[in-house]
Formats: sequence, structure tokens, C-alpha cells
Amino acid sequence: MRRTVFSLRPVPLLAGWLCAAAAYAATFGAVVPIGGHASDLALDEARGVVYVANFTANRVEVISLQDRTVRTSFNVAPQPGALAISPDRRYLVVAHYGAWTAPGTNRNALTVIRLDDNSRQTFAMGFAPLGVAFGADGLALVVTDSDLVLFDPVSGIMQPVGNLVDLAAQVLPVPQGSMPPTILTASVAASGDGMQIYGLASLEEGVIRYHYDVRRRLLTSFAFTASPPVGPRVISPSRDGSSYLAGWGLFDPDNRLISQFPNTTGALERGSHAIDMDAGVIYAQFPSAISDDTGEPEIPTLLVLDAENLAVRERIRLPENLAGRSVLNAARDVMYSVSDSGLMVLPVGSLGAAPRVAALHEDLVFRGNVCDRRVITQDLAIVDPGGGATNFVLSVDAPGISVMPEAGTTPMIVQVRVDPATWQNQTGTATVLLNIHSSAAVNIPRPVRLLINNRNPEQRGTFINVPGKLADILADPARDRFYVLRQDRNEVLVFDGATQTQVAVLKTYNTPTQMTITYDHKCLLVGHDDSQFAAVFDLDTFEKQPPIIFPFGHYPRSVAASGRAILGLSRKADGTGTIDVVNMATRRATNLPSLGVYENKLHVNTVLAASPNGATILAASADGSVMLYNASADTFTISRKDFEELSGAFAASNYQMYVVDNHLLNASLVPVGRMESATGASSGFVFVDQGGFRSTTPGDAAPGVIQRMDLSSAAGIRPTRMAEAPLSPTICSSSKVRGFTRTLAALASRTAVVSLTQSGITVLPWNYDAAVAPPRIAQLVNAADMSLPVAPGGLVTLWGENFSPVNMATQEVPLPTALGESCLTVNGVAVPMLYVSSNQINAQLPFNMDGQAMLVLHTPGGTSDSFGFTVMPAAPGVFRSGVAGPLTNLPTVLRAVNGELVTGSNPIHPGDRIVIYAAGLGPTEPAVEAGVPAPCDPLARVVIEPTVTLGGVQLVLEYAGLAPGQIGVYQINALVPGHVPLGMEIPLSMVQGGGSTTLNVRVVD
Amino acid sequence: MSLKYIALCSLGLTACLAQQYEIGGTAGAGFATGATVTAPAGTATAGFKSGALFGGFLGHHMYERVSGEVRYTYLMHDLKLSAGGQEPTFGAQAHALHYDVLVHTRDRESPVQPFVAGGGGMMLYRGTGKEAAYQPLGEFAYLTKTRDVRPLLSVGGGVRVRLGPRLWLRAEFRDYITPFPEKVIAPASGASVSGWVHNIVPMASISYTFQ
Repeated sequence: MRRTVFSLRPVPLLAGWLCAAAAYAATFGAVVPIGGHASDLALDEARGVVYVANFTANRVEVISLQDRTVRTSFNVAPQPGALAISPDRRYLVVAHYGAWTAPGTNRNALTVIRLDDNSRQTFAMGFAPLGVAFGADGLALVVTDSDLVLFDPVSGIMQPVGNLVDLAAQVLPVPQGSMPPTILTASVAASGDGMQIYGLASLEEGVIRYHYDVRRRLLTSFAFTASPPVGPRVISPSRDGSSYLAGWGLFDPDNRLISQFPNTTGALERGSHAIDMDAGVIYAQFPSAISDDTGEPEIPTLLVLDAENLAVRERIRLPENLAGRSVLNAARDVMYSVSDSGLMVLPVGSLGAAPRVAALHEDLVFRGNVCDRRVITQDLAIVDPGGGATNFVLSVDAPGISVMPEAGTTPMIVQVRVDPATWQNQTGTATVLLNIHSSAAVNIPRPVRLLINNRNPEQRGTFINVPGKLADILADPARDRFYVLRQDRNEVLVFDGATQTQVAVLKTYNTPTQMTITYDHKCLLVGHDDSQFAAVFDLDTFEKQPPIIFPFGHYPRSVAASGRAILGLSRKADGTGTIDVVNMATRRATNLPSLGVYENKLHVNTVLAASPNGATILAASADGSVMLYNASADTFTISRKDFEELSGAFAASNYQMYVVDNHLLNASLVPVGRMESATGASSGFVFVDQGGFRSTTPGDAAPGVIQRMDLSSAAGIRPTRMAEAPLSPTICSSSKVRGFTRTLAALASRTAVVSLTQSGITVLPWNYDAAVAPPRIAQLVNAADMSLPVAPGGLVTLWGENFSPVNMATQEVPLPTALGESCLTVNGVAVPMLYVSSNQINAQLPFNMDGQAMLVLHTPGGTSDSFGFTVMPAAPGVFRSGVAGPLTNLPTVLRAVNGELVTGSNPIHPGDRIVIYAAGLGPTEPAVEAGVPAPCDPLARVVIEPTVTLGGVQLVLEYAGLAPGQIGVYQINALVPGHVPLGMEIPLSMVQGGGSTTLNVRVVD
Repeated sequence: MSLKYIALCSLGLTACLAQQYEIGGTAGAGFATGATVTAPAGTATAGFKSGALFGGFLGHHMYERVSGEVRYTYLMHDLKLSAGGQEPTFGAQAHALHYDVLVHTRDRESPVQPFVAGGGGMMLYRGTGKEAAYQPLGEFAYLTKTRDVRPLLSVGGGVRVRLGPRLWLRAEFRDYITPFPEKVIAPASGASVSGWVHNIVPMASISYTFQ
């Protein structure tokens, strides 16, 4: 029997989400009270009943599955603590717990109830039976406080299987308020196929898990200590026995901890679980260890978890607490659970149809800028995932934010409006939670994160919204990619370095904390705070490989790969940290007996960082200690404690330099420089060659600062404000690597530096700090054909210099009024933008303008001189953006008959209908706001109707207005008469409000 | 063929209306020469793919050794353009309608009658393919779905063999010569095409004579 330890560490979660449920709200599931304390249940679908052991009333309640009422009761011997039904459904075996303190006498027994005729036979037992489970062989494994026996319900013969000494059930009588799980402290259950039986029980000191292989009649056990206690005291095998839940841990058949659920009290008498491996979900209640400070009791919550890694998919309100075993029926659509009142019936198969409420977006981003101080409006869809009509109420507790309407019925689009003026004094990103309440919904909706950014033009970088709790970032040294750990979903998000778009999602185990890439650049390793495993992914195929198994009770929260050894810093249950070494061939990690001459005992909040060349691994601890593993010597060669505490950034270079917090360390980890702290707390550091990038944060809602570092002097070079703050040590402490943060990654292509920031990631070009001259506007033309003049609502192109340090096009709708750190105003009105580069901007003029106008561009380099131009009521121009095969810049005139562009090989014929796409046709009726897609019902027709001629012959105009769904693009549908001039170059002209445009087309008969 | 000879034949037609007539059907194949398209990008060859032909004629024998006939020929004649290893094609057809004078080397009752023929008329070229905004070799010319009527000069010859008292078999050929159809194969902007199109059309015909 092995003995080891494992533990949970409580950490703050989204407390708002946990505590957001209203006091009176809909719940899921029906309660069947039994007038006593239920201790166990057994499902008999063939008879349409579930048997519930009523521990205190000395009955077995027979409850109908159909009407959920107590159909009858079997009066049995005292204290039926456990029961099980035989595989052939003929026998119900009831274990009676009868361990009494003198002068009481022990009344331990087993009762066999023949279910065909309800006849009963009771067998006395010497030891107190704590649990019973039937194997596929028809024998019941009975667990007593001293041994395990196989019991044949037909003959009544008991065969000893093995001893489990010192099981710590409570002797009767027990203190007031004690519940059966805290009395029996044991649970045993068989897999669905009856081939495996797993059990869990308390020892005088610690806990024991045991496994009985029915076919081989082999018993194995595993003792350990745990903190908090292993509760709920329920064991739930999957149907095929390939995994099982014991208390708050999910184990494989080899007793390895796949994942554990964090932040639970470990109370034995509260909660339950059941695995539906076919659907890939676990239904569970784990009482939360996080107090909401309201004094109200915690709302009983059913968690729908990912069976692979315990990621929370959904939270469902329960009418009361579960309190013991749960079983799923054969169809896996109803779960029966022991609960406070007796039995709870949960129709989990119809959970999808139950009233629920959710927002379609996790985050809403509001991007203010110096050009645009108007109220920013975003649409948010509130839906019932099951498609139903469910009432909801929205609330937000922050000034300058309103929601219209604040209440409604799903599905509904609500508008969230943010007044930038309220937030103008903060130039980072403020985070506000929009809470969703529903008295009709059974789920606890996640709040929506409102991210309000009010950057100034000189702030650098483009932030990209990535919802969730982000814990680590790592650039791939061999591929133009970077990886981000999303901790709340147990995912690695893979981003393309060139486009910064997410290209893959990799599922980790529970609570991923840190990543590393093997020295051969083939595999990504992920450490976890709630799993015994480190996940391994093939970086070429993204396939999940067999994990690295760390010693039991070790949680590899930090991993680093040198050229020689891969090390893992594991959290141990005793609150210390330890270093394990990984064998990739066997996928096992073993604890190092010592770290060179130093003992292998570190502060639990220790992080590892490998130098990119694989020569060294730095270990930095929150208590101020640092250590260095030298790959050449294959041992730890340095251990120092020069600081009282350490937190923030940590990194190792190829040139034997190291950074921890604000300290620069040399090859011997001797502090050789201290970096400034005036710009804020250390957040990220990444070495590049013999220099590096460093980010600091003065506060979450303030802009962060990034600077290049001169390592010879520890001085920052050109500190530059970022669009928003990088994640701070405070925030990252919730990622469980308390105080240490890795928030910067330099892409292998050396095109950009990426930082984890408040809204997700912020991408800074490699030369983000290059001197930028003020912008100069040279020309403004109609974007369609690069002509003058321009019209209200027209798409325009600006040519000039120093417009933007980055090239960026947007697909946001409505169009943003700032793009790539640049924004534009016309007569003081913000202009929606589509594209920016150093010398070109594409934008849409406002509709409500005419005559002389002044245009001003704001960039990180400053503000341009005012550029004057004339706006005509209409200035049509046909786009030259058509493409046909290798042909480009073709006029966007299409023949309706084949939908292809008019060209020499696709000429216009008399009688054809043609469609012309153009810009600059001026105002419409109804009016459409600039930057917003044109409606399709009603169509937005132009106020000034154009005249279209072909070879001087007027075409029949069928429609002229904005193209539905397009921004600033007009569409003209016209019919070509039967008699038009033929030829290779026939002028097609459009005249409107004094403006005109002409292009030549081929016309044949 | 000289203008003088055509005028003589026309006089003969009027004079011999009461003479022998001949009606027949014909089938064969057409082989057309191409023309060179010159463009800034280089040169390409524009022309027609070989194809089958069908037709008919109505003739009259004005003199012992001179006859005339009106002929209609339908040619399956896809357009093509060739340059740089590419050869885009485009569905097309041609219709020839012309009058030929035939001069026979033997009397009209002779069982084997070699003859030479010449005449003129019109050729209608029609592009019928599927139009698309992009066509390969578009820098040279566009194969176009339209029609183009061009004058036609017909020269040829053959032999007429008696199969029965009124039934004849003819083996003959024509060269239909037309100016290049610049509407259906339209030179691109900056390109030009020159030359004539020779449609060499060997045919076999069955005809029937009557008074």
C-alpha cells in the first residue's frame, strides 16, 4: 500500500459569476423527500423504481421512476447505510451499519431482499459494513471497517478478499447534525459493465482508494492524505471503468489524477457526481470554498463539466444540495442523486430544453479614441441556448454605461452604450461586468465583460480581444506562431504570428499554468495546477500525445526544457515546491533527490524559465530565492537568496543573463542591475539577442509601458505607452503562479512583440518605438476611381506620409473610428476607417456634409495640418477593383445574365441588364449613418437620381442606391435598350447632380 | 474567274431555264487557315478548329458543259486562339451561302464528269460559346459571342459520277475565302489582325437531276 499526499489550493475565481444568482430563481430537478437521511440508492429500471436507503428511519424507500413518489417501503434492520442491486436484478443487498459505542451493542448486518417476492434474509456481520457493490460475477463486494468480503446473495457465503485496516467510520451515536457520508465516510461503486469496482474510505489518518478487478479478483489499494478532505464522499466510475471520480478528483484506472476540481470545501456530506463518458460530460456538485461575503448560504449548483479536463461548461441551479451517490439511467438522460431531502431526480437529457439565458459574446470591446467622443453602442444578443423565450434582467454597476432595454425575453438584441466622456481620464482599458439575471432560467449566466478603452494617439500597439483568463504566452521559436494559455477553459490557443488570428485550440488538463517547448521544437508541454499530468502536444500536427505523469501528489505548475533535461516545478500538498525531472521516452517524471548540493525543497510559488539555447534553466521563487540548472553539468549549480521577495517577469537569455522582477542577474545569478520601477510593476520580459523587451504596468486601467532594455546598464530605451496595460502580477496571482507573470513574447519572425493585456493580446510591431514624424495629407480622392471630387458618405482614399506605423484593414462592423493607432476627423467629426498604412487611408466621409471641409489626421507621430477639400452633393465614381483571372483593376460593371464583369470577352449586348458598383452617389432615403452597412428593407435609394447612358443612349434605371449590407458602396441596376451603338470602346456614362464619370465598354450584338 | 465569264454564265442561266436541273445534299469537313494577331505582348494565331459540314445545293445545266448552282453550307467551326502553348477555344459556327458556276470537261450525259467551280456569296460567322470576364490570351483577341457577316469567294472543283439514270455522286472541294471575321475574333486594344481566312472544305455529294 502506497501512501502519499495530494491537495487542492483555493483560489479566487469569478466570484461574481458564482454569486450572481438571485435568491429566488428557477431550479433544475425534482426533490422526493423521504422523511429521513438518505445514505445510498440503487436504480432498478426494469421494475421502474429506485431504492433509497433511509439510514435513520431503517427503511428502504421504493420510489417510482414514473411519478417520483414513494411507492412502498421495505422495513429493514437498523441503519441501512448502503445498498446495491445484483446484475440479474433479483437481489437487493442492504448493508446495515451497526457500530455502537457501549453500552450499545453492535448490530452490523447484511439484508438480502429477493426482489421477485420481496422475501428477506438478514446475515449478521462481525465488522461494520460501510458499502456494497455488485460485480459482473454476481457477487457483492462488501466493505467493512476492517476488511473486504465477497458476498454471494444466493448462498449467503462470505469470502474474505483483503483487509483495509483502520477505516475511520464514526461510531454511533454521533453528534447532532451528522449526515450519513460523515458517519460512514466510505463509498464503493462498480463500473457500468461490472468489471471494475472502485472504493473510497477514510483512514484514521488520511484516505484510502481501492480497486477491485472483478475478473482477476485482484484488490489494490492506495492510501494518501489530502487537503481539503476528499469530498463529496462519493465514488463514480464511468460506464466502462476507464476513469472514475473520487471526491473532487478524476482518476484513471491506474489511480493517476487526471484532473481535480479546485476551490471546493471537500465537505463529505455535500455534493455528488456522475460521469457520462459517451457525451463527454460530468454532472457534479462541488461545494465552493470561496465565500461571497454576503452571509447567505451558497446556492446549490450542478456543474456540467468537460469529462476530459473538468472545464466548467455550465452552472445549473439546484433546489437543494446533493448529498451522496448519483447514478445515470441507461439512456443517460436522467440522473438520480441522494440529496438533503432524500432523492433528487435530474432530467439531464432535457437540460437543453430547460429555460436558460446566456449572452452570445463573452466580451464587448468599446474602443474610444481622441477623434471620437460620441457614445459608443454595441449590440449584444441575449439568447436561450435551447431556443426558448426566457425572461432576463441585465445590470451593470458603473457610470457612463447603459443598457437598452435592461430587461426582456430571449432571444433579444440589447444595446450597450458607453459614454467615452465618463472614461476619458483613463487611457487604458477599464473592465466592467454586465451581469445577467433571470428568475426563469435554471442556469447561472456568465457575466459579460465590457472592455472600455480610451487610448491616446501616442499609445502603441493594437489590442485583440481574447476572452477568458489568460495565464501564459509563448512564442514558437521555429514557427511563426505563438501560444496563449486560456486557463478558465483549459485550452492552449494557437495564433498565427503573421495575422494574429487564432488557428487552433488544444485541450489541456485542469488549470493549465505554464508552457514550454522541447529543445527539438517538436512538442509543447503544459503544466497544470490541478492535474498530475503535464500535457504534451505535437506542434506539427497539434495532436495530443500521451501526457507526462508526475509523481502522485505533485502538480507540475511550471515546466521548462533545457537541451538536456526537462524540469517541472511541482506544487506538493504540504505547501512546498519540488523539482521533478521528465523522461520524455517513458513520459514519467521523477522527483530529484536533491538539486545538486541543495535540498529539493523550494517555495511553492516558484517558476522555471529555460534559456532558448537550452543551456540553463532559471528557477525563481516568491521568497526571493533563485537557482540555476546548468545543462552541461546536468545539475543545479547556483542557489542564492539576495531578495526578500520576487514577483513579476522572469526570463533567461542565451547570453547567461537572467531577469527576475526588476532585477538583472549575471551568469552566477548575482544581481548586477536594477531596472526602473517608476513605470509600474514588472509584468513581462523577453530576451532578444543581447537585449530584450520589458513591459510594466502602473495599474489595470492605465496604459502599460514597453521598452527595449540595454542589459549592460539595465536601462530602458524609449519607454513607450501601450494601448492597454499588460497583465499585472496581481491578476496573474489568480493563475496560481502567484506574483510571477510571463506576458511578453517576441515572434520568431521578428515582426512583432505580443503582450498579454487586459482585453486579450496586444500586438506591437518590432519597431513600435521608431520615431514617427507627424502625418502629412497630400491628396484625397474618391476611393472608387481615384478621382475628384468627393461626395457625402463617399468612400475616399487619402494619400500622404506617416499615416500609420502598421498596415491594418478592419472587418469590424460598424467601422471603427480609429484604426492602427490613427484616427481621422472631418470638420471635427470622426470618420469611420477601413484601412490604414503608412501612406494610405481608406475611409467613409460622413453623410451630413457639403461644400468646404477640413480634414485632420491624428497619429502616434502627432496631428496633421488641416487639409481642405470640397464636397459635392454627388460625385459618382465606378470602382476599379474588379478582378477576373489575372486581370485586375477592372471596372465593377457586371452583366446580370452571368454575374461576371463586363470585359472584352464578356461584352454588353443590347437587352442586357447591367449592375454598376460605385461610390460617391451622395445621401440616400432613408438616411444611413456612415460606417454602418446599408439596409436591405427598405432599400436606401439615392436622393439625386443619376442618368446612365451607353454610347449616348439612355439606359432604363431600375435601382440606384446603397448596396444592401455594404458600407458606402452604391449599386445601379440598368437595362440596356435594344438599339445601342456597337463597338470595342463605347462610353458608359453616369451623370448625377453635376458630377459625372465615364468609362468605355465593349458592346456587341 | 473573270467578270466577263461570270456575265456569260448569267446570260446562260436565263437562256437555259428549261434545261436540266440538279438538287443534292453534301457532307464533309472544313479545315480553316488562321490569321496572325499582332499585339504589344507578341503574336498569336487566331482561327478555327476543324469541323464537320453539311449542306445542299440546287443547280441547273445551262449548256452541255456549263452549269450553275446555289449552295448552302453549315460549318461547325469553333474559334480558337493560340500562343505560348495556350489554345483557348470558343463555340462557333459558320453559314456559307453562295452561287458557283461549274465548267465540266465532258458532256452532261457522260458518266464521269470532272469539273471546276467558282463563285461568290456571303459567310456568316457566329460565336456561340459561354462568355466569361476572363479569357486566356485576352491580350491578343477576344473570342466573342456575336455574329459577323463577311463576303465569300468560292473556288474549287471535283468529279461527278453517274450512279443511275438521274442519280449522281459528286466528290468535290471548295476553298471558301473570306476576310478575317474581326467581330467574333476581335483584336484586343492595341492588337491587329490581318489576312484572309481560307476554309478548305472537301465534300461528298449525292444529287438528283430532273427536267
